[in-house]
Amino acid sequence: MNLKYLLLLSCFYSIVLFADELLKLPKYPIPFPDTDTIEPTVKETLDFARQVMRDRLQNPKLSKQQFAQAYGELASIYHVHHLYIPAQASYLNAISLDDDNMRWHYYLGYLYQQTSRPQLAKQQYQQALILKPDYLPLKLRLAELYLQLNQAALAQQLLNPQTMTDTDINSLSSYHLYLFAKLALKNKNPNAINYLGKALAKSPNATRLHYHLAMAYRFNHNIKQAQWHLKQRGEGLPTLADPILAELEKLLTGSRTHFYRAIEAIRVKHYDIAKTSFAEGLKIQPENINARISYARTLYLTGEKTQAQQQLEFILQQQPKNDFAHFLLAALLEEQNQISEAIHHYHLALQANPKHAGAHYYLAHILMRQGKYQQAADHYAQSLHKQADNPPAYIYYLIALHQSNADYQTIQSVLRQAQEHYPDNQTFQYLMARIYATHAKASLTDKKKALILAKQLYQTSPLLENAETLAMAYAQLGQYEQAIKLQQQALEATFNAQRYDLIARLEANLKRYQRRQATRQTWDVTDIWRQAPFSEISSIFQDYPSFTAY
Amino acid sequence: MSSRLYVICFNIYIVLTTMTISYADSPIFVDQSDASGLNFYYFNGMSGEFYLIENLGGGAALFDYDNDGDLDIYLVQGKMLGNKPINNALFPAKTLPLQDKLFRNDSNNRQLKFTDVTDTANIQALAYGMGVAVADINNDGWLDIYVNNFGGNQLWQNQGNGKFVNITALSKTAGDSMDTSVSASFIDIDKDGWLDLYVGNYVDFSIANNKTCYAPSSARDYCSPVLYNPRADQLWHNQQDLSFKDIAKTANIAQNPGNTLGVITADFNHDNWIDIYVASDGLENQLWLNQHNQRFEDNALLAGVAVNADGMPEASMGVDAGDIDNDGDEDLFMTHFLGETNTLYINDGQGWFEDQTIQSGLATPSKPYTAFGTAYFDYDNDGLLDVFIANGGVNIIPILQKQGDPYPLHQPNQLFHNLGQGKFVEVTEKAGEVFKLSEVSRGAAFGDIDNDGDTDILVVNNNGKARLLINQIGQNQHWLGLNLISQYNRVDSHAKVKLETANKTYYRRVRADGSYASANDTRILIGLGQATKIKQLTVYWSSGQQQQWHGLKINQYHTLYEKSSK
Repeated sequence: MNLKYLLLLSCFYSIVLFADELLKLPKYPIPFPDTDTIEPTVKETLDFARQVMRDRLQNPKLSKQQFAQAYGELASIYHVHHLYIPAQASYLNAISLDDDNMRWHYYLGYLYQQTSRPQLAKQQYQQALILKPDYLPLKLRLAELYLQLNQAALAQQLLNPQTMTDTDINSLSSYHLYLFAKLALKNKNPNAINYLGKALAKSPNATRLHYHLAMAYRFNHNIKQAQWHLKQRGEGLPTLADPILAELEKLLTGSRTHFYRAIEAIRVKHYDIAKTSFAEGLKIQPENINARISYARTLYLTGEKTQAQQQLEFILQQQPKNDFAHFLLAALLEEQNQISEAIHHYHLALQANPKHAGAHYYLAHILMRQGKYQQAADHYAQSLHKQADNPPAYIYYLIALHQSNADYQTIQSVLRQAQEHYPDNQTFQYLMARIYATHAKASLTDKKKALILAKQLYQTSPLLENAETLAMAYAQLGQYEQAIKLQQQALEATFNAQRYDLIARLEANLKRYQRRQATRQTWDVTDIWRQAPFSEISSIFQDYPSFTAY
Repeated sequence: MSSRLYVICFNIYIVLTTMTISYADSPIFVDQSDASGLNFYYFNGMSGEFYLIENLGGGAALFDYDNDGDLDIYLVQGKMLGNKPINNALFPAKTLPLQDKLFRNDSNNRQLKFTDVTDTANIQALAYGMGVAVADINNDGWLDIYVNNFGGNQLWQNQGNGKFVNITALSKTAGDSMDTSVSASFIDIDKDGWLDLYVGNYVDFSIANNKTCYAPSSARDYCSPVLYNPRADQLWHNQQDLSFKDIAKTANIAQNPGNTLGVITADFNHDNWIDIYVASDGLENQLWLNQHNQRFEDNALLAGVAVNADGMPEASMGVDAGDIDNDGDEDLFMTHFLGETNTLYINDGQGWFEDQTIQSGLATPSKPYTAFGTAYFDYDNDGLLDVFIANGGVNIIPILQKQGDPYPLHQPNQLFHNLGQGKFVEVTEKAGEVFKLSEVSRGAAFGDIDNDGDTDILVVNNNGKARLLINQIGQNQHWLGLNLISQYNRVDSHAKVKLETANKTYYRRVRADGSYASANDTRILIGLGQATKIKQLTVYWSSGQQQQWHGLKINQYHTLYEKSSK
């Protein structure tokens, strides 16, 4: 027996001596969180909860269970606001006073899981399950935790899929089936595909299951199926309906906490959760325009487009010059084919912010579709001035210039800008090579550069159009035999490639070369303009620009 | 009163128990930064504005710039962020001026000594440094330095006389001044014998577009990168005249921007062409498989390395590839954000991977930490690759904030021992006093700094001191060191070796990249355990040639040369 054991023994003796007092005072001291930096609504909630606790502690008539209840409630308030340290201490106090209340074990286990302490979480879940063995959400949560802890045998024991009939299995929730599938995947059991298929059928929005399916098919060497499922995959997972935890979530106050949750949900593309969180946050902070715009976007992304429009209109009542709200509303209206209204709002967005690259770009798209090429060209130019990293904008800009009969000097100058940003873009190389090789104006042509560019293009992509361009370059240099040979080869290839649209053009060129004349047809705009510009409205709402809530 | 007493008793118990443990075990690593004269603090220039990138730097390189046979050190430095003057920095700079530093290894007789030679080497790197990569870009036998910055990057050419020249403009590798770039890797993508350059870019953060974010508790905190737009990475093709051509678009790389933080290059699918694996913070990781024509295709999803086993992208920071199960292929390891696990992907030999983090024992211990620099390395030379992890948060840690900590992001680093059969066990507790420190660690570079036959670690701490973790135990077992010189007069940065002893076969490769923001010793060091004889060594040069050596002496470094294929 040495000094350290004597010291420890005396300490534990003292604890026993003061044991009764522990029933009244917190066994686990509850630190007061630093509330200076948190928002007033949350602070008020916490202050109130602590005051209630203090009042209860001074009430001599309260039983141990009632004290425990008070600590548990205080813990829940801290917990839901992510103040884990005081929450943990409060739960431990509640449990030390009343070990038989499943809820505090469950919540504490959940807290441990949230704070990356799975072993402690497991202990609390196990204790909670003893107290409430029929509570399925807890059982599923514990089984999933076992899987995370590499204790598949315990998960298997808890879920027991092998004892179920097909009818039983068909009646299970999507989440339950998902866990069966995870267990099967762990055990390399081919049933995984079956479980995942059933889970997906019950929750079609749980598109992340496609990833698991892809991996299961890959394991079976069915690569085609694996690739198909990878294309279908998204972020959604089956949700676990858990009434006891839902009660905890209801205690949440404070807008920032809701907005934080919303942004986290957006990170994993759970737009429905984000929508709810934005809505909750806006109840507390209705004047937060950024959050309301984000809310409108989540409404759109979850299919509630009318409500999204209402929110945007509401924002514009508050802030009539909010360029972003005008822009989103314009996009929404464009999608609904209310084109004149859409144009109106794009213009309003641009009045509020003349440098709004997106408004210029999408407005230009509409004008292109309306055949207003000159105006479209102006807007593409302004969009590119603000945001040069946009290859389709250059292409449409060039088409708009061409269609509005702009001179080739202007077109060539835009093309040079495009090439500066995208020197390897083959479309730009193609267009430039054609100008160099065919234009009547000597100042715009460059025979040598035409040949270099055309050769490079043809070697990289031996397309018929590139063969035609190379022939043009040869002809421009007076090398008609090579031009004729190449053009004849291209003509023969049109039949195999079923490019009948090119035959007349190539034949005309060939005749010119045979007459020892270079061609002067600079561009056929259909080479680069196969369809009208299309506005991807959903990608605007999803990605352009990134979400913000503050 | 009684509760206080309880706490005191518990503390006494813990102290006594810890004392018993620490007396019983000798440390694996000892910090010798002070003793060796390596005096460097990374300054992040924070002033209370919560700029996204201020807690992401910096990195270090371990490389032999003067070809004298030992590893020198390059460390990148931050600077003040935003418009505030430097006296507004929440953590004052320890040394001025703020610039990257080059330390020469002047050790002798096993006494480590580093000398600051930044000025004599003519290096004046004054940008906001994030990371560094090293390679011989002109095949002259001297290692050059590429510095990743917030803002334009820099390329410093080694003149071979102890001096460097800034050839950023000539090389055209500065990149976009809007980019924040952390990691880069040199890789000969087309087997022309000249090293090309892959540069990972993060998000479109700028001082002007800094966003305001809050912690779950609603207090001000750093934002998630998801609130910014990803920036495309760059691939520069070496033009063999000190200049590079940006081929990211034609190579397909630029088509799929990610929030790149870590980069590792290796032949993942056994086709003898070097591929690129990119760790992306919060987005899917990318596995760019070399198509042998200066083009790449991202196969990460089907290969099973884009997301974790749950199908979720993770906040990937650091990365390494190595053969942890000695089966001849490259297994991946990635470090992640708090609440996520670090992830171990086991290669099936065909370039298909399986997430075996949970089975390996690496999952649970990693969850409470945000991890950055990492590597597979055999710290005890038992022939199995172990794992080091540099930790430090990117969001405020409530318990530290509560304690009034001025920089509440710090966490201790971790060391894991490979038990074989794909299992790891954490040995941080006996790794040494330096592992009891809690700091905001970022870059980590690995190499045999004291040339004693085991792997040491250089750790860079954000707003903290660079630490030199010298291995105390590896040299107790047998080892073999290899310096592989290609037919192009430089280290073959992607050569592989197969080493056979009487009882065991080992597969290793040269690796300068990986980890986080850092460059590693390019020598291969193979722990042999108790084996005393080498049966055969086969070198698989990246040109495609193979050569064999027999009877190499153990416990020493060998320089092996590729025979010319001309």
